[in-house]
Amino acid sequence: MSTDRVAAPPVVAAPRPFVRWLRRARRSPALVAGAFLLTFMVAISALAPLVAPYDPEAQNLGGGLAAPSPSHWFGTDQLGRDILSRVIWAGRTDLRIAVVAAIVPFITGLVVGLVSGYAGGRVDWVIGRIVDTFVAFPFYVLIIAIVFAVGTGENGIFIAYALVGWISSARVIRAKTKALCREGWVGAAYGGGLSHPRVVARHLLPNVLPQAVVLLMTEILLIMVAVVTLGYLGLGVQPPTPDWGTMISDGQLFLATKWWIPSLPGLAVVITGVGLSLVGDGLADVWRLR
Amino acid sequence: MRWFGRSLLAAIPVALGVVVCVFLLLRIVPGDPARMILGEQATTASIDALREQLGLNLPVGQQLWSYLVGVFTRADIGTSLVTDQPVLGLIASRVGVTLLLVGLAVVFTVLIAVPLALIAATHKDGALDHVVRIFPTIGMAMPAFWVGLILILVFGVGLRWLPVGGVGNSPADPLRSLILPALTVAIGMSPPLIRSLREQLLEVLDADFVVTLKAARLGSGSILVRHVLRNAAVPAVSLLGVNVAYLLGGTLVIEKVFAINGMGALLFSSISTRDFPVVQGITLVSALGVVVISLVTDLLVAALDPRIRAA
Amino acid sequence: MSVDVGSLAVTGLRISGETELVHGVDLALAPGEALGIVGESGSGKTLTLRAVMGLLPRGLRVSGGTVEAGGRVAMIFQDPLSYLDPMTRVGTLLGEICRAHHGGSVAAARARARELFVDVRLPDPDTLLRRYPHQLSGGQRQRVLLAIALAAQPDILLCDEPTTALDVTVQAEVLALLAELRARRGLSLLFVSHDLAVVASLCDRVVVFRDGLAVETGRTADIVNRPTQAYTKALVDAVLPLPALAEVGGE
Repeated sequence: MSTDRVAAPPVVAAPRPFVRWLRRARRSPALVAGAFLLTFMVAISALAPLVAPYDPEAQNLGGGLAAPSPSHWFGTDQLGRDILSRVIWAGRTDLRIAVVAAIVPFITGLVVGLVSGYAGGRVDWVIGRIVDTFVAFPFYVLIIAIVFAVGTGENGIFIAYALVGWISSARVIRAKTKALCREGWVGAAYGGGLSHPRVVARHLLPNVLPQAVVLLMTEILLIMVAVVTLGYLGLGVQPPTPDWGTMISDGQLFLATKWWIPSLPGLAVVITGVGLSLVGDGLADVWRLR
Repeated sequence: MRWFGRSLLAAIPVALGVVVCVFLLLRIVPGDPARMILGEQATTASIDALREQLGLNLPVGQQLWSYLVGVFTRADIGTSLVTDQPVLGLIASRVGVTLLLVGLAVVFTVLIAVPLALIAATHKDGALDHVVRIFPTIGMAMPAFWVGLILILVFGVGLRWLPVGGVGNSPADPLRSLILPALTVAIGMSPPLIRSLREQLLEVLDADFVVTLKAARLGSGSILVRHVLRNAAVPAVSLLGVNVAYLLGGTLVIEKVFAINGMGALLFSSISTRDFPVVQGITLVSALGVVVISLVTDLLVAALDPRIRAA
Repeated sequence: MSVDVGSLAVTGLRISGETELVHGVDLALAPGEALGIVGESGSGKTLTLRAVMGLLPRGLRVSGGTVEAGGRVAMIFQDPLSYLDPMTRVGTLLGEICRAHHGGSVAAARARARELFVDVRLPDPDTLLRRYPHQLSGGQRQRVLLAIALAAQPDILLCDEPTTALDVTVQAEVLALLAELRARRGLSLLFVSHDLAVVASLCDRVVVFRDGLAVETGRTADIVNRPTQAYTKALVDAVLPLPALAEVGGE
C-alpha cells in the first residue's frame, strides 16, 4: 500500500437513513398533518403543569357556568372549574392510559400473529379457534363486562384491553407472516441453518414491523376512544381524576345551553383521534401498505 | 349445502368457547367474586350466602359443567340477583328494541357506505376520492357517543326534526326515535366498510371480466351495477358481518346516550345494581347473537357467489 | 380517408406507460383476411390489440400513430375463466350483451343468445345457457367468449391468444371453429399468439413482433420457409415438426 501523501478525495456522506426516511415522510400530507396534531396534543398534555392556567380541581362556585372569556378561554363548568385546564389535564390522563394500555396487547398480538403464521398446522388452528371465540364478543360489551368484574379505573382498563385488544392485530400480522412465508426465502433461511426463533426474529419480524407499527397507532386510537367512552359511562377513570369522558358526561345536561362544557372536551378527543388516525394512515402510505 | 354444514360445524366450538369465556368472566376477579358483587361494606354472612347461591363453593369444574348444561339444555343463563327473575326473560323483554336499532343501523350503514365507496372508486385519486377517504379517517377518531351528542345537538335541538330520547308510545314513534341513534351507529360502522368496499371495487374494476364487458360495449353504468358491485360486494358483506360484533357493543352504548330502553339500558342498570348474572347473561347473549349473525352472513355470501355453493 | 368495411389500418402506433412499450407499428388487414401476430411475451402484441379495441389497461395510453377500423370490431381473450363474470350465468350475460347491441325484449335477447350458442357449436345450448363460468370446461368457456364477440355482428375479430390456455385437442376444435366462422361470415381476423404453429395453421399473412416493433411481415408460407430476419428464423426453428406447413402455405 502506497505511503505517498495523496489528497484525500472529498467525502460526501450519504444522508443517514433516518433523514432519507424523513424526506419520504414529508410526501404524505396525512402523516405531516397527523404528526403536527399529535405532537401538539402530546406536548400540551406532557407540559400540563406548566401550560394549564388554573388548578383543574379549583372550584369557584360563584363563577360557574361562565362562557368562554379572556380569563377562561374555555369557560367554566358548573363547579366553576376552568375547563381549559381540565381539558389539558384530562388529556394527560387519557393519553397516558391509552399509550400504556396499548403496550401489552401490541406485543401479544405481534407474538401470536408471528407464531400462528409461521408455525401453521395445529398451533395455527388452535389459536384460530381462540381468536374466533374472542371475536364473537362485541368489543364494548366485553370491555364493560371485564371492567365491571375487575373494577373501574385505570387498572380495569389495562386488564380489559390486555385481554381483548391483541386480536385484530394478531390476525393482520398472521396474514402478513403467512404471505411472507409463502415467498420461499423464509424456508431458505431455515434450511440454511437458522433456528426457528432466529428466523422469526431476524427475518420475519423486521418485515412485519411496519404493519405492526401502523396497527399500534390504530390500537392507541381505539383505546383512547374506549377510555373516553368508559369515562362517559362512568366505568372508566373515576373522579376526581380529570378525564375527557367524564367531563362530557357531566356536561351533557348543558349541551344545548352551555355548549362549551361538553363540546370542548369532545373537540379535544376528536383532534387527538384525528391526529392518531392520520399518523396511522400516513405511515401506511409512506411504507406503501395501502 | 355442504359448505353450510361446515360453517355450522365451525360455529359450534366457537359457541362453546363463548360460554366458557363468559363463565370465566366472574372468575378473573381478583379476590372473592361475591365480595366484588356485594361491595366492601358487605357482611361475612351475606357474602357466604351469596357464595352458596352462586355455587361458588363447589369445585370449578363442577360449576362450569352445570353452567354449560344449564345454558344448552334449559336455556338457563342465570337468575337476577336483584329481581329473582330468569335473566333470559329480562333480556327477552328488552331485546326487541335493540334488534330494531341494529337492523336500522345496518340499513343506514349500507346506504352510506355503498354510494361513497362507488364514488371514491370511480374517481380514483381524484378530488372526490380524497374527500371520501377523509371520512373514515375522521370517523374512526370520534367516539360513537360523541357523534350521538352532536347529532342530538344538530337535529334534535337545533333543527328540531327528530325526537331525541326514549321510545315514544304511538306506533310510528318507535322508528322515528330510533333514526338518530341508528344513524349514529351507522356513522361509526361505515368507515371500515367504505375503505374495504372501495378497495374491492378498485380491484374488480381492473378485473379481466370487466374488459370483456367493455369490449362487448356494455354501458359503464350497467357494468358497474350489475357486475362490478356484485363481485365487490362479497368480501364487503363478509366484513359487514364481522363488524356487527363491534356494532352490537356500540349500539348498547348509544342506547344510553339516547335514553333508549333496550338491552343496553338493562346492561347499565345491572351494572349499577351490581347484578352480575344479568351482566353475564347479556354478554353471553350478545356473543351468541354474533355467532348466529356470522352464520347468516355466510348464507348471504353463498347466495351471492355461486362458486361457494359449488364447493 | 375512409377505410373499407372489414379492413384495419394501423399506422405508426406507439403505446406508452412510464416508458414507451410499442415503438411505431404498422399493420394492414384486408377485408376477409386472417393476419397473425407472433412474438414472445412482452413483445407488445397484446397491447397492440388492446389499442385497436380502445381498451388499454390503466396507466397506458396511445402516444402516437393512428388506428382506423372499418366496421365493428370485437375481441376474444386468452383465459376465459377470468374473462367471464363469475357471478353471472353465461346465458344471462350473453342476453344482456345482445340487448345492449340490438335492443329488444329480454326474451328476444335470450333467443338470440341461444342462436349464438348454436353458432359456436356448443352442445345442449339450453342447459349450458344456465350455467356459471366455473361449471363449464375451458373449451366451452372460450366458445362463450366467441359467442359474446359475435353478438356484436362484427366485421373484424381480434383474437388475443385464445387457444393458449386450452388443451391441444380443444385448441384444434376452436381453431377449426374460427376458420369456419370466418368463411361463413366473411370476418377479418387479427390473431395474436406466441405459438407460430397455431398462427400458421390459420392465417394468410403473419407479422413478427419483437420488443415493441414489427420486425417482419409476409405471407405465411414465405415467413415460414424463407424468413429474412434472424429472429424470425429463430422462431421458425423453435417450432418442432414443420414439414406439413411447407406445402400448406397458410390456407
